[in-house]
Amino acid sequence: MEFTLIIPEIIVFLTATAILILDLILQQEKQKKLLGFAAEAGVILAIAQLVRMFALGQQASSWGLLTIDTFGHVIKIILLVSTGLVILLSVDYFKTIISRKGEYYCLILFSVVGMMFMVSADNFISFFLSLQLTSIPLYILSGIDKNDARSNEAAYKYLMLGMLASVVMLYGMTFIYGFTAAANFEGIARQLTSLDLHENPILLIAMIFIFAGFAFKVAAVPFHFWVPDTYEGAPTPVTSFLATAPKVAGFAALIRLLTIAFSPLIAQWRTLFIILSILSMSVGNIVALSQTNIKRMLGFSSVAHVGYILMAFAIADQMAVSAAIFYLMIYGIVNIGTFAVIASVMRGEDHQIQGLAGLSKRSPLMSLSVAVFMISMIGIPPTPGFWGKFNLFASVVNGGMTWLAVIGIINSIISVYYYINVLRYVYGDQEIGNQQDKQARRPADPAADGLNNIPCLMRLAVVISLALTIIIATYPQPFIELAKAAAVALKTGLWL
Amino acid sequence: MIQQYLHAYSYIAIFALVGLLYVVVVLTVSRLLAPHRPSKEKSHPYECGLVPVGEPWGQLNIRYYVFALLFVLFDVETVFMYPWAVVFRDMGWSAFLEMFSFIVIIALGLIYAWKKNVLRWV
Repeated sequence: MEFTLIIPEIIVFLTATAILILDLILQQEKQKKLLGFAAEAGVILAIAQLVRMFALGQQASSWGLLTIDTFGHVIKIILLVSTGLVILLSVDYFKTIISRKGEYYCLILFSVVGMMFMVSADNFISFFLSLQLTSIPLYILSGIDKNDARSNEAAYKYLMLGMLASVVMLYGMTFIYGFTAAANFEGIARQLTSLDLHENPILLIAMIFIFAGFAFKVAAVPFHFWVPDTYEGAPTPVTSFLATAPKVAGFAALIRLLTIAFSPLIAQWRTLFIILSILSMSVGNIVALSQTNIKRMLGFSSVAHVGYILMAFAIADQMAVSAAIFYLMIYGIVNIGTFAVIASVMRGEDHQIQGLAGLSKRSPLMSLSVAVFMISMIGIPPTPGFWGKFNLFASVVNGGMTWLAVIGIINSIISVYYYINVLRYVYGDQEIGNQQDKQARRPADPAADGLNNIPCLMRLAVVISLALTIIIATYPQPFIELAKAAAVALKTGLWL
Repeated sequence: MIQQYLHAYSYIAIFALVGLLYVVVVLTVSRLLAPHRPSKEKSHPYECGLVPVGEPWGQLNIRYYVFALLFVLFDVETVFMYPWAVVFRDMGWSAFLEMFSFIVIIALGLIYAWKKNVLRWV
């Protein structure tokens, strides 16, 4: 038992418990800001440790029910960077909204610990436990604004559907265990090679059950029904967390599960992922066209992005997987950046896209950030979104499914409309919305009105996301190499 | 394989069928044979032999949920401690450390709830 292998997880966990105690010690409301800084410090410490472990480049080693390898390090760094940005965003956002701030940071960190274990899990038992550790804090987080009915609704819908998905997934796992008598991924793979699928059609059903659970967690069509309501109702920093970290962790766990445990059944699950991917892309993009609420729109756009990433699973070679990991990095940063802008310019009002009208005159920095993030989501060169999509589509063409790449590109073109629509409001004349709308969107909270007093930490979160976006746009190579290193490190028989 | 698999379930199907038939038969026989003389006492809802008090939809105080949660927490803790106690002698210090950290984590949660006045009945 080498405890040194899970030091990052231990750091994050200890930070979370320390915050609980700190919350008891700090009496004054003013001092509660310290809790956010403590959480941030813990996250940065864990990132530093992960970078150190990555640089050492140790061989994959097993720790109980976990596999600690380079793939895990890279994904965990992505997870923690997005968590750090979310915490930065939350400090000022929740200054007035919630009374128990210690719980908020504690729940975020517990959820991240779950995600970190989920990324490393190489066993159904550890995987399911860490999945629950991830999900349960997320249910509470989406309802953290107790006085807001929509936040409660968001939490309730997420909880109900999330529990259902977990149960279906667990049911699938029991079938797999029944057939293979193994719970660890490599053991399952060994057993599955000797089983004939035509004699055991239930294997296919079990696989579909497990994938349904995953599809729910990453919000792929047709398991996306919780997305719009939960994204809209949850407080914006929580939405930004929901939209990124659990998806990154879910995809990483899915990659490990598919390439190791289910590698003998690749012909079957490939077809499933082609269907899931086409559905997610098309439904996500087409429904996003008609959204007037920006958080709902981003929710559907994230469904579409999930569809693009799922294309990589339809190919499932080394190039496709590394392209998916690279895409996840970009998706995480750009999405958190967009939500950071929304959180800082749209406090205390509903999140209609019209509310952004004339932003360019009020805050040049924010509108520049929105422009960069939106163009990046479309994938116009030279933004990181372009590099991500380019790699992804190239790997799909390389894998011999040109038609699938064509569907993806058509979908990207559809998405141009609703992303540019946001910019039309941001940079357009204030008169786009009719007079009545302008009256309606007058913020009730005077503190939210003055854009000049965007708290500096929120500004910092936006600037960091913007800086990362620009860095990836100019030097994509090191990040692509990072994703490649992660994919190579997977112990799978699929790429030889 | 799949044939065998489904075959194994046929026992359950037969069992369910017999169970269903039993209920139907017993209820019909009782309806046919038993005398039907209802009284006020007899048509009371059955509540462990006590005289029912209040409405069936009477409201419970929501604060009981704290007790329910804490009960589950410490119940599970005890369940973990039994197997631990059995193997404790063989495993030695590592077992001690693991149980220690487990209890510390639970105690932290309890202290937090306590300090936040969750346990106070007002």
